[in-house]
Amino acid sequence: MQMQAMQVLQRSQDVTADNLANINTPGFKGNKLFYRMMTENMNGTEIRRAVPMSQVNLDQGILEPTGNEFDVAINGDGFFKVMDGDQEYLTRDGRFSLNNDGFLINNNGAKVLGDSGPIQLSDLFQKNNENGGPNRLEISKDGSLLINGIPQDKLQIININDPSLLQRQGSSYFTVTDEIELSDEGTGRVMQGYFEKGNVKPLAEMVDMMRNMQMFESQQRAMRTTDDMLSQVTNRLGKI
Amino acid sequence: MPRALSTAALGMSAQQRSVDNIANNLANVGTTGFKRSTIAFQDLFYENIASSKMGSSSSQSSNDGPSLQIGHGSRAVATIRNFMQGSVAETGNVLDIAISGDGFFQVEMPDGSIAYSRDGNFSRDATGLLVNNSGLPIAGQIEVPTDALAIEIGSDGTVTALLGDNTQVDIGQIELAKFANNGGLDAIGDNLFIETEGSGLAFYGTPGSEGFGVIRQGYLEQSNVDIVTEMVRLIEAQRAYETNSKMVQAAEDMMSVTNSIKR
Repeated sequence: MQMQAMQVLQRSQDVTADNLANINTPGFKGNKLFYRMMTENMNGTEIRRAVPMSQVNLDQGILEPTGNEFDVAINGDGFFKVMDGDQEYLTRDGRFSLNNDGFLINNNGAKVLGDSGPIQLSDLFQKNNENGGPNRLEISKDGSLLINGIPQDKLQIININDPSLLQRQGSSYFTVTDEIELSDEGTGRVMQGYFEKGNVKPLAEMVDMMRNMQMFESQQRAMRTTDDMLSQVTNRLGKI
Repeated sequence: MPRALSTAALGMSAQQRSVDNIANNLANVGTTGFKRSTIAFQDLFYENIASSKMGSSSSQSSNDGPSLQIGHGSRAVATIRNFMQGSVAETGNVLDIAISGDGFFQVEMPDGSIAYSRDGNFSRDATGLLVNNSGLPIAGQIEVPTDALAIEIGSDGTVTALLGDNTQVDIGQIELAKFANNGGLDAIGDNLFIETEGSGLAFYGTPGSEGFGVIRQGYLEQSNVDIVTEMVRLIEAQRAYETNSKMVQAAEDMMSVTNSIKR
């Protein structure tokens, strides 16, 4: 019993460590840890134990202005959709740039998806027809991409109704277990020139860390007590 | 070994990178035309642990889904440069010029290629060419006559010299370059940037024309490093580092508790 509890607390501490390691990771969504009570029936005796489960904490992170026209953040619900290799991912990290072919890409080189596949803005490399100057990119609140005011494409923003379906894939990517849950309704506003900071709250994580540690220690004490009891049983009773 | 130990260690090394970058920004707070950068972080991959695997004695295979995901820390992935305008300060030196607005000066590298810079601290070399601090001439090579008494650089980049006999001669034109994606430029040191496939090809234009900034003679563009912002970032990074070091300690404590199970 104590061994299981100690293993569970060790896992909890691993989750807290990951949250703390990503305090400054933009677009990071913290892990919310919770325990589920499991009752097992062994030979008529009920044994209860706690099983740790994690869920993605989708609280909004603080938006920080950067002044970079390719930085976008979502204020409210929703995810950007990107294509890394041939796999589609969801992400909240909207620090994009252009690659040499004019595709909008993220820090991993994955293409950002619009309403009709990867977003290509090669017009930005062309001269402006009217005045010979460079073109300007504008991203409106609904995710529409405009070059010199002319609509080009629209960022695909996907909303997840049930955050428990989100699977973390690292590199700020998420996937969903069930595609049906995707919808584009109720999404937040797209903010150009901002990025979203991580939503980990250091205070809460430090408290979790200390709690995990102390509970781990008390379980160890309990284990020793059990050990003492067993030793009494074998040594004392054996003498009779 | 508990995962928490290495996760926290990775968190510490990521924050260390951030501090290194802030140190570079702060070291260049007085560098003409310097553009500050920030480090982009990302979370690492995740380990999925099925809930039925937790606790070995479980006989039922209920809810085998990956209900617990444990991450492996964070890492620094990219440097993002911020090309916001720095403040422009008066120097009174006739060959100091600043761009107020968008655009880069072009200088010729020894191999003939062009490098781009926001640093307008130019001077005359022995042959009369206008060169930057590293001795690289302005693209198009503007030569100042030896008998010139004064040089005037207009806001549109035209360079005129006043000769000894009170005549004004046009000796060149400073052209600016601009990119679709400034973020794609590579910094090569010496306040210089070079174009990459990511930045796109340069657009050229005269200062003051559509989309290009104007030239101010007698001014220099200061570094766009904002000390207050950098200090705030430094506090953030340092505290995050500290938090992660506490995690290392806690993980170590847990290991020691585990070890003391056996007396």
